Amino acid sequence: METQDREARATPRAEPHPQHDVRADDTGTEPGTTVSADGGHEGPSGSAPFPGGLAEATVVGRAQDGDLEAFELIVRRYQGPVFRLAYRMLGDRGEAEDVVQDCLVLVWRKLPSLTDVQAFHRWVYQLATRRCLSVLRTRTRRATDATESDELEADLPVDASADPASLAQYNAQLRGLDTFLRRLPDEQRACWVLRELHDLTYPEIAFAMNLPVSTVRGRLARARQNLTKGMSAWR
Amino acid sequence: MAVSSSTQLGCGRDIDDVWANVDRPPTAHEQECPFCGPARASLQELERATADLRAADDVDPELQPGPLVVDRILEVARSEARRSRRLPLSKPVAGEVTADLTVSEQAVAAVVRRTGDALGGLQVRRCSVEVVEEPAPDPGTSTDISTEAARVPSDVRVSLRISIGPGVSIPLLSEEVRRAVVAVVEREVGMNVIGVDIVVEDVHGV
Repeated sequence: METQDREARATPRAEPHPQHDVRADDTGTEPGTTVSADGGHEGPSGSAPFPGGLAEATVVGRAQDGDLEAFELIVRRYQGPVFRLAYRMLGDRGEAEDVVQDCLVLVWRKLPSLTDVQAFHRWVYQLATRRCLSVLRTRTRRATDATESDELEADLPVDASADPASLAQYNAQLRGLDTFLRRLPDEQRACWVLRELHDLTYPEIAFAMNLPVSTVRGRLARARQNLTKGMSAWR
Repeated sequence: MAVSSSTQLGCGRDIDDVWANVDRPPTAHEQECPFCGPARASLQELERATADLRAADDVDPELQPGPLVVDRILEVARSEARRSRRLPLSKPVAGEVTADLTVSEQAVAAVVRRTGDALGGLQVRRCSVEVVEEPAPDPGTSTDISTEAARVPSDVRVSLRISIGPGVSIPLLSEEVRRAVVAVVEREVGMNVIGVDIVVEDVHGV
């Protein structure tokens, strides 16, 4: 299932990819990027150093050599982002934890086959996104929609005390964004979450989702349209 | 919520175009157009809600996996630790089939990485160690030497792929790395380093 159409699509795998130019390709055409007004879209993630000032590519290279300490740094760096991605995709803590575990174990197993360490960041997102979409497909097959919406509603946090974090959460809830996010079609939601909550570029999302960039652009436009419609109706 | 299939607004513009301009002042068309104006306002609302959601998610303690998740991942990784090659510590002795003292390539690499990190100005990314084989000595020629005395440290060649800090002189650094690696591998591992190949593959921290 996950392999269908692979040949026909944009940038299907992590291995031998001369893709250092991905971000450069992207800056001219991507609309609405908050960080790239001057066209200098800095990679969000791969660029932040690890403890000890190590570059991500260094840590990844060491983990490829089998260095468990380096792998632990990777796990600690990525567990939160992968969890948040999975939680926003699946709306369930337990399932999101499973995705984190499956995804990062897979990273360890497949690391030796990653030839371009610069591709590591988008590769992790690819593994995580595929895992989420696969969980969602399984869920659809089981057709548990009746109980699911109850669970999702129960998951909505309700506490809004005075500290800024929960105030922001409260504001977001007020606007209904997380509610309407849950109702988006899975692939629209995946594209939107990767773009807006994880700062992936359009080509990185295309890589993660195994879709052409043009399709990603279309899904994002639709996601934004659906979210704004939902939020307007909510008010 | 109705999920629509077209992203064109009533005026024929695509919502993507409105989004592209959402952080800039409205165009003349957007100020006039009964479709673009409201679309722009609701996209700005979406942008604010997104920023709030993101800020909340990033600090929400609930949006972290439980501590056991990391433990389980690391446990799996340890149990599936990639076995690295075993390298013989000394040169083969005539008549001996296997080396009885070996060291793992990973252990040597760890010593080399630590040494490189301590030098500063570089990060060792990959490290591999190759034993340089010589033709095995002819059993006939070693008759009068005791086996113990004949043990000679293995010759190895160390290959490094490194990243350097900005403004670092590659020739000077390479020489420094070479000397340090030769010394530390001899001292801490007991092997004879006959060559250190260094590939500078990146510059970090720029």
